[in-house]
Amino acid sequence: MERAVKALLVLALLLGACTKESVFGPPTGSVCPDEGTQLSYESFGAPFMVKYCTHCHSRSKVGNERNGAPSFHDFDTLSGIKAVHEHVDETAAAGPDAVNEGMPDYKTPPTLEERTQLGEWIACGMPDETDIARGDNHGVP
Amino acid sequence: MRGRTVEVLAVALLGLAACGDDGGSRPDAGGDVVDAAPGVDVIPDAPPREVIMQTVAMEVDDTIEVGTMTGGANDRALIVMTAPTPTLSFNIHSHPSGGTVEAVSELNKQNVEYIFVPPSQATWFLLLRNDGGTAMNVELRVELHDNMQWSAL
Repeated sequence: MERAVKALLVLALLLGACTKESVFGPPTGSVCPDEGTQLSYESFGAPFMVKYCTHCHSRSKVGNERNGAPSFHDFDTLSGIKAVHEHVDETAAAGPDAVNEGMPDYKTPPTLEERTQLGEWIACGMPDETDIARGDNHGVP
Repeated sequence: MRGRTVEVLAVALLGLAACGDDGGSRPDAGGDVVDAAPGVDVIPDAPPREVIMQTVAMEVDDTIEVGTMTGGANDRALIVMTAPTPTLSFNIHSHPSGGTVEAVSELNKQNVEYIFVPPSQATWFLLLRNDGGTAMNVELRVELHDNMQWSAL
């Protein structure tokens, strides 16, 4: 009986060690401010991605260089972010409904303020400077 | 004592085997890659239940999530795409259980005729990417068979 318990404990330990933890959380529920956002791709989105994401999520990275980042999930262009922005929100952003910390898998992760800004920028439609200049910074209608 | 050690080791090996990858990896992909169920990747004689046709305008370097297909191993979709140059790349993946499963990833195609049979019941994302140096329009046609559901994004 004791033997069986030990064996089960070892099995449980091993299975626990190989379980893949989900990197996805719930949508953050971030809302674009009424006045729109002043966060642009140039001032916020691109620097955030360079600092935290494109070490792996880049079209220039292949094979092991991607550290497990799925192909076609590359954030070195604005359209690359927009294509999977809901997943970016669910893995790295913060808002009233959730603080998602599934990504990045870094020793120095984004601050809560940066994650909240990411949520706002996504909620506002991920504008660039041109969008902001023409007032297109209030999110997708 | 020795018998007990052997027993624990056997259980440990069993546990490690259970950790095995479920689909291997492609050199250019981080997600698991899975094959369609064998023998079902043919389009039935019956006409498609629904046909989606769309022109996708793509700027240089654009990555666009054009839609999702929800279905399982008994559902099928014929995906036909035509680009003006062999610079169209596409990917179909899903995110079950918080991970990523990649069904297919092809680079630099001009004409695509791909029969998609989901390896498992899930919502599958169809991504297109323009890997060329000029903007282009991609003609997309998706024929839905069985219970495959399409949702445009």
